[in-house]
Parts: sequence; structure tokens; C-alpha cells
Amino acid sequence: MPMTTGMPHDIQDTVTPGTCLIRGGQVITVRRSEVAELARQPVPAGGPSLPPRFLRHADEQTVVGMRAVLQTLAEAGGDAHDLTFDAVVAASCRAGQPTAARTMVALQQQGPVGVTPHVVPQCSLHSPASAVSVGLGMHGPTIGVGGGPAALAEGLLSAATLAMSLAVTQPAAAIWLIVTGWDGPPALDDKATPTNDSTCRGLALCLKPLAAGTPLPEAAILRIDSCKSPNSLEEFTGDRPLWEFCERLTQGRATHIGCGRGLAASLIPGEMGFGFGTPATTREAA
Amino acid sequence: MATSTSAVVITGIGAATPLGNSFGSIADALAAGRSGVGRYDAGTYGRPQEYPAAVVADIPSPPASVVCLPPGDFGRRSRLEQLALGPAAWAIHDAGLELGGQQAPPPDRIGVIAGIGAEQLKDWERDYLDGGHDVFGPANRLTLVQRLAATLGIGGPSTTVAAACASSGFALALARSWLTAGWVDACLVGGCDVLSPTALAAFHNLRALSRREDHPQQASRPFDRDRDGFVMGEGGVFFMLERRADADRRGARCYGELAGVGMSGDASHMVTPCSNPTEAARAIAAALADAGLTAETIDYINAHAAGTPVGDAAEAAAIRTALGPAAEGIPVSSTKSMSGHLISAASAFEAVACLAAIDRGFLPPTINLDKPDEACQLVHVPHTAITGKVEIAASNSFGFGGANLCLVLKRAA
Repeated sequence: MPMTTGMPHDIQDTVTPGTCLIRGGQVITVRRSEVAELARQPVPAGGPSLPPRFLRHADEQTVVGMRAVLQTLAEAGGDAHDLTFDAVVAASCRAGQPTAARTMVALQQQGPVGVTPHVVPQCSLHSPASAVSVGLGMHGPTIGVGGGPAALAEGLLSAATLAMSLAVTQPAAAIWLIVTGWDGPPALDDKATPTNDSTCRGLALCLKPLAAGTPLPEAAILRIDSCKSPNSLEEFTGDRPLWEFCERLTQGRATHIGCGRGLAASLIPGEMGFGFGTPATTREAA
Repeated sequence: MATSTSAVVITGIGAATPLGNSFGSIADALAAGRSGVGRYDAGTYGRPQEYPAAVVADIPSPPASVVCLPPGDFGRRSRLEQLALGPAAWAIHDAGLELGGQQAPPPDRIGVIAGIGAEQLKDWERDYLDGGHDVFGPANRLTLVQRLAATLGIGGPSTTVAAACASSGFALALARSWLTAGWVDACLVGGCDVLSPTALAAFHNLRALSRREDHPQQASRPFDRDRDGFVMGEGGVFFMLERRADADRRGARCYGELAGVGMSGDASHMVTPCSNPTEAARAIAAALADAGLTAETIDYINAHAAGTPVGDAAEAAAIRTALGPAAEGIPVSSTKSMSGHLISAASAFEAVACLAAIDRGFLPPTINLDKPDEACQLVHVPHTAITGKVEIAASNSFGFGGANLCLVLKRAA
């Protein structure tokens, strides 16, 4: 996840395809040992509810990503929009690993009968996105992306991609970008029993697609920029942890993330940063 | 109807499927109503475990004109990676794009999108069955799509997309948007999936698979009254997508235009197919609207219909809801009756089936459709292909968690 500070290439003052307003977001961190309890906890006050025991088969990253969405909605309170046609993009890294490990051990010890039927629907790349869509009644497109070290960049690019069609077909709808991962990966013994207590992190961003060609708002945005100068591309490459990205958002710092060598996802703060509650640099200062 | 120069067209196809490894051989198999399903032993640790399944007999190595691998390199890669790399490289070859050559876009202007639903699970499983311990540890490998881009020398944006059984369809939808936005000048896009003991056991335990182990070729029977679940298959299908103007400039063959995309979510259940057709119908209607077409213009629908009792009936209702009275005149078939369900690659494979119908002028059949279910009232194409002109085809894909997708493909005039 490559990042730099500063203004993006190709500054324009009108909305380009895929640009989104960043309405708000939340970061949730929780120890692996506490995820099951988090799944059982009541939803945050002021937000929507979930069906009973909805997360009982969900993997850790789904639980944490869902909580980040619920917290964002609770913070919005009465300002929350109608979720009916919202879309969900969930970018995860190594989602479902502990369940997969238990499944491998079960297959070896018990044969096929020991394989849980939940391993594919609840612990795959699409699962965090599907859980948010199903749990909160969102009927827009729902996809999982990434799976590996570039999950964040893939999530930002895919959310911007869906924004293009949503801006036309459902202009009132939002896109929920959920990025999840482990701060330090879980370690398991050969019985699939955890031997460390890693931190699972989930970021939710509520993105409102903007119509291409309209004036660029003085607010926090995500947009996709082309990188014209090949010599400057190195600054966008690299591999950085999700916690560092979350910290930058909380601090309201402009951030660019390379999406291949030709494109970058730019997150540009507004006067109130990215809506994470921390006053931030203005667009000019950034 | 002329194709717009900004339209997104398919200029290359590469495949490794139970019904063949090229556009021509797949078209031949579909036209002949041939089943690719057989008996498959997914046994592990000395325990045999047979399922009806559709297996790829031989995965084609990449052509040397596209990528020159060291001897033995391709065979050492995982089966899943072979099912991506082989078809992807052949799609580039088929498109006539010499990467790095004057006719091709610069590598940074070519994107890669792969629909792969459970890549990590299958990587971990393969490693574990080989005696490895990756699933217990912190190894954080590049994803298959990242390795694919690196192997093929493609430097533009890339991503893996997962929407369960609709994964490769969503990949096509994203690729079309990248081209329309001008983010790339060409996009290699498709999907792949592999038969795995864990996935087969999971779906079997979910009671989603057909239990006709003794008669595998009759096991996949979408829309039939006696259907009892789907038959899992494996395969890889990749396309090269370009804008029509770029394809014309270099004189490329156009298999067809990806004219419309519709997407929606059931928001119903994480596992069980949604019996309410509303959202699936919305995806179909959205695809037609996106293509600027009316229901009456559709010549053929390739249904998702996997052979599950709830899913097939819900899809039939969705088609009738979306198309209204026009549904009474539009032939519908499920090629999964022949190919099995290629899971992540299903949508891409079924797009090939639509392009074959357009190119060859036939309606692929639903084999094993002996007793059409009254709950699946449609204009079926049972048992054998029917000759007929197909200008416009729609293809449905529905995935776990309620991911609905419809693609509209039309002849590139």
C-alpha cells in the first residue's frame, strides 16, 4: 500500500468518473480473542439492527468490518441515508484463515463429513461484503476484492469503479468500502489453535458517488488519477500496513495509493479531514 | 445496428474448460449437447470420495509468443494458477496483441481483473494436502492476479473480484467500466476455479450438490422436476476487452460487444438462494436498460440455473418478471447442464456460450431436461441445440450472499 503526502497529479476542478464524496467512516480494532464477544454485542445505539445471531458463523474480518459500518451509521444517527440501494465493496487480506485452518485439520481427522458448510459462504473473499449487504438490507452490487497485500488499493479502485455506474443508476445510493486485515497475522499451532492474539482491524468508508462533470465539492473525496510521469511512480509503490493508512485518515492527511503503474487512488481531505472526528488540514494546506 | 466506437468489445478468448479449450471446441460441444460431467474422486488421506463433477482434461500451456516460461515452470504452478495463466495467455494470443509491440497498448495501460472466489482457501488447502503449513502461519503471498500480471508483463491496474458464483461476471462488469472511463486501453478479464476436496465437501454437506453419483452425466439437470442440486466443475476463461475504436484501428476480430451490465443484491441470506425474484429481475432489467435495449430484442438467455430446487424456480420467476410478456418468446437454456457449474469461472464461460450462439447461430440446449418443472415456466431448449439467428443474448449469474448480475452481449456489427 504505497502512500505519499501532497496533491494528486492532474488536478482538476470538476468531478472525474468514479469520484466519490467521503461521507464518513470508522476504524475498529479488536484482539482476535475478543472477536466472538464483539459478534454477540448489541449494535451501537442510534444505528440499524442486525438479525438475531447474524454473525455466529462469520469470520473475524467480517465481524470487525460489520462493526465499523454499524459504528459509522450510529455516528451519523438521524443523518443516515436510506440504505436500500447501497453497494458494498469489501477488501480483505487473508480473511477466514483461522476457519480454513480448522477446516483443514477437520478434513484430515474426520474426512469430508467434518468440513463445515460455512467455510465457503461465510469465510471467503466475498463474505464480509455479503454479510453487510444481507445484514443491513442493502440491495446494490456486492463484491469482495483483494485477498492479499494489495487489498486496500484494489478496494479503493473497485469502489470508484462501481461509483461510475451507481452515479447514473442510483444517484442517492452510497458505496460502503470496507477494508479489513490483521495488524500482525494470526499464528496457529498444528491443531489450528491460536498461539498469539493478533489485532484485527476494520475500516469502513461511506462513499457517495458524484456525477461526472459537476463541480468538485470542497469536501473529502476519493478519486482515481492517472500518473503521467513514469519517473514519479516509485513513490506510489510499496507495501504498507492497514493501520498506517487508518492513522493517516484519522489525521486527515491526503493520501495517494498506486493502483498498478498507471493509476492512483487519491484521498483528499476536506476542512474536517475525512470525517473521522479529527480536525484536519484543509485542502489548501494539504 | 452499428456498434458505437466507444463500445467495449471482446477481441480475444482463452479457455480451459470441461467442454474444450478454445472458442471453437466449446461451441462445437454446446451445439452437440455434449456433457463434460463425469465421476471425480476427491478423496484425501486414503479415503475415496466420489462426486459427479466436470473436470478439465488438459490445461493448455501458454503460447511462447505471449510468455516464455522456463521448462517445467507451468507444470509446477498450482492447478488454479494454471487455469488462470493458460487461458489468459491464450486470450492475449487470440486477440493478436503482441505485448510490447507497436499495435498493443503500453503495459501500464492494460488492466487485469480475475474473478476468483476462494483463492486463499484453495491455496491453503493445496499446501496443506502437500504437507505444508501455510494456513497456520503468516506467509502473505501475492495474489494470483498479481502473479498473473507479473508473469505476463502487464503493469496496469489489477484486482481480484469475488462474488461467489457470479465472480467472473462482476469482473467483466468492472473491466467494461475501466475501459469506458479511459483508465485502461485493454483489459484481460475472466475467472477461474478448481475442484477442491474442501469445497466439494462443504457444498455436499450444505446439500447443494447433486447426489447422482451413479449417473454423473445425468446429474446436472437445471429446470427439471427431478433436479437435486448442482454439479461442480472447474475451469478458466479469460477475455481481452478493448474499446471498439481501438479494436478497429488494429483490425482485430470482434467476437461481440459487452453491451450492458445489471447488478443487484438480494440481501436475503448468506447461503440459501433467495426465492423472491425481485432483485434478480432488477439486475436483468438494469442490464437491458444499460444496453439501451428492450426485452423484445433479446434472442436468447443463458440462465444461471445450476439445478438447485429453489434457485432455478426463482430465476424463472425473475426472467418472467423482468421481461414481462416478451419472456414467452425468448428461448432460455442452462449450459451448466453440460459444463457443470464452474463456480467463479461460470459467468465467463457462459458469456462464451452466448458468443458462440451469436457466432454460430444456434441456441445451446439444456440437456437432461426430461420433465420441465412447472415452477420453471420458460421457453426451454431441451436436449438438443436449435438453429436460429442470435443477435443479442443475455446471461444471468447469481452468487452466494445474493450477488446478482446480468450481462448483455450482442453481435459487434
